[in-house]
Amino acid sequence: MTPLVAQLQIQDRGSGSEQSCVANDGFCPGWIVDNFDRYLHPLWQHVYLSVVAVACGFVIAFALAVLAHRRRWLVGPIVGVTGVLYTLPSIAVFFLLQPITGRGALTAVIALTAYTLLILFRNIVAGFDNVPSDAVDAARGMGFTDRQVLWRVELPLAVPEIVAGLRIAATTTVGLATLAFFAGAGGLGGEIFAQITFKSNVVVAGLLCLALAIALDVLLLLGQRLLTPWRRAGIAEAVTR
Amino acid sequence: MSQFGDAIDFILHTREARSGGAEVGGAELLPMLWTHLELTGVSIAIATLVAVPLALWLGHVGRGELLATSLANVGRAVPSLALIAFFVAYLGVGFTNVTLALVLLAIPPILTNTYVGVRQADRDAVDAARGMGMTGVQIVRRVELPLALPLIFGGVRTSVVNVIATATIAPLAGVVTLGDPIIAGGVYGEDGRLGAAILVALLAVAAEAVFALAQRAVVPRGIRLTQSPHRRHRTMRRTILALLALLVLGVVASGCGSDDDGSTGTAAASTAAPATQEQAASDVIQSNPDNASTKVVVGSKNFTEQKILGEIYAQALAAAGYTVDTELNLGDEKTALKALEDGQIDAYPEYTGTALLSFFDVPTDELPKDPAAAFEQVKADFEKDGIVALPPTPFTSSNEVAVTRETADRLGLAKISDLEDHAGDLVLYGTPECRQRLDCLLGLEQVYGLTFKKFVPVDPALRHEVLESGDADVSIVFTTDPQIERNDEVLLEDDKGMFPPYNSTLLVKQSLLDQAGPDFQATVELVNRGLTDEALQELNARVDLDKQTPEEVATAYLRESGFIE
Repeated sequence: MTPLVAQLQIQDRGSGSEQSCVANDGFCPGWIVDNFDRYLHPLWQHVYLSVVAVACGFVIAFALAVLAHRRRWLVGPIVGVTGVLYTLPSIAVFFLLQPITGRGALTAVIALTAYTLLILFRNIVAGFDNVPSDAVDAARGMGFTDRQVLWRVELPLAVPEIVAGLRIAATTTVGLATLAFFAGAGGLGGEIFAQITFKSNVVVAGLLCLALAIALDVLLLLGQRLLTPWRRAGIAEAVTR
Repeated sequence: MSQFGDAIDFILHTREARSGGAEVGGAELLPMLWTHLELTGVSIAIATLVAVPLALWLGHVGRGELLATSLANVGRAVPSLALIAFFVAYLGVGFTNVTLALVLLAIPPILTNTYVGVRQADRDAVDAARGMGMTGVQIVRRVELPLALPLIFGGVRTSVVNVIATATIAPLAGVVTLGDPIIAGGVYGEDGRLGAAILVALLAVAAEAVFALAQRAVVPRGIRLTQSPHRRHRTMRRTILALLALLVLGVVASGCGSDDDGSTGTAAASTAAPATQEQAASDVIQSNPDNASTKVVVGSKNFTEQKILGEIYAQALAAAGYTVDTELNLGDEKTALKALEDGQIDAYPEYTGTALLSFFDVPTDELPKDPAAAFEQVKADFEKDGIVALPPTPFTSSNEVAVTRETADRLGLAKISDLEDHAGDLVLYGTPECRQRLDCLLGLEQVYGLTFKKFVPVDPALRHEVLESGDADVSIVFTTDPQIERNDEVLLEDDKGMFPPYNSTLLVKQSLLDQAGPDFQATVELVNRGLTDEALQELNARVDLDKQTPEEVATAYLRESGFIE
């Protein structure tokens, strides 16, 4: 066999403080700065999973809440079923779904969506319940139909509770999505798992999860302020009085 | 749906592990269930003992509201996997460390609920108690605590469910809970994985139900009397709903799905087609447009060397013009072979020794000592299954029995048989599949007659860390591991010839090879030539020590060796 034209460069790993920090699985700021870009794709996957799951969960929970708002007896059974879904450990669900939906983002999103349902449903129902009956009566007196009452009176007044539910759902989902790589959906958990003994890696990926949870929380809070301008006015009024 | 039937069969009946050698399933699940419950019980007990008194005091004096309420929010945002990983990275593996992590996870809900429970205790009742001349301690014990009990139990219940769920990933930190069949799917098979997932789910639902009942039982009688009577029916309704829930899972599966189809696919081996320059006397892989119609999925097992090899073959084949995808990190050898047989992947690198022992059950005394003979035997055996074993690499990477320098000096160990007098006092760590492999625990027991004090299955990524942290006295490592030199580990000589040669051979489906044409094998043989012992140690070091990704390291290998430009 003819020898190869070129050969792999064998490096001497004897010295260098930065080198030995990384080689010894330490916490190395220099490495983190140089390698931050490897976390961007998993971070994006994580954002995708969390946002899609919460959005999906919101659509389902909202529909269920509107239904239960009209037919009160449905609240108990819906809380019971979504409660059981909430109780099932996510890692188990990621595997229980695979015979049905295969490996990938779809399986992860379904499982994560299931977790948001209880939180969102309970909060949306509580939001509707807390709408002052005077406001609803006034709207009816003005000739609003049921649909108009829902969209133009009850929904806006329920925004604070709904956003509170979305905030809990979002932080919870970001946390659970770290296990989504078990379903073959990637995310920051995959990075943590890939080098679980390397401190720099664990700290960066873990902190990115936390940062994402906080960022979503702040965004939702900002969204609430934009959607309920009268509340700010109300607070200002209360203070000046 | 028959998969669920097989999974339930796994729960109910003990069976042989996928390659034989060990019993799994059925009654063998009981120790795991016990560890799972023990871990949960201890963590919850400690968390309750810490959180309840603290929150009672904070609530009684009315301080620390911000702490008590924000702790719950922060606690929710901290991913359990990150918490466990943090403890593994900083403190090492083992029951104590996992318990600590779980205690941290369990404290926030208990603390917050207790605090809120005390603050919400009827102020009139507290004032009345004070008026009756009760002391502070009496008020806490006889008024505030009983009134807060339902909420305290609610907090404990939340924590119990969380901890049961998180204890499922404890095997990553060397604690064998019910999560082991889920995480080490290769040993237990898909049935085991699904069976354990069902068990964990049932365990969580059962715990939730028990605590819901307990919560109801501790409501003070005075409060219960003021509640509406028809609440009692809800318990039964909930139990029925629990059973319904499994059905609902399937409905939800088809419900939300359509919104997010075609999302993030598997990341392909992103190698741009190389420029096809005219170049004489070089090893540069030439791209052949005819190959583009052949789609190849390259797989690998779940440790560094395998991922690097998988990437090298994937990128080299892409350079030759093939349409390549990767499915790295499949699991152990059984999982990888099954993926190949099922058509999930088209090729993956396997070691000749592993194939002889794990796939073809060659007895130790009949193992070939010569690498070429070992390869010929493997090749002939695979041919019967429609799988081609391509010519092997120059390097060999055996399993090795490793101890720390300190242990070797203390016990005077140089050969594996030196362990004979000491094994009863030593803890052995290895991968989960080690239990059923003749070149691992099974061989140490049968060939060397060793009985270790304990065997702990652990993720292959931790094989050196467990030695360094002192958790393991003996660990199974690989010849080409750079950590051996870094940590000054001692490899014990295989004096009874338990390990055959372990050269790597790319296993390819015959049907794919026929379709792919001659470039496939030529490319693989070309890149194999640079894969010497030294090269593999260097490549492993770039990933394990320098923390480059297998993808980067594979590209660097192909470029530095002049296979791509």
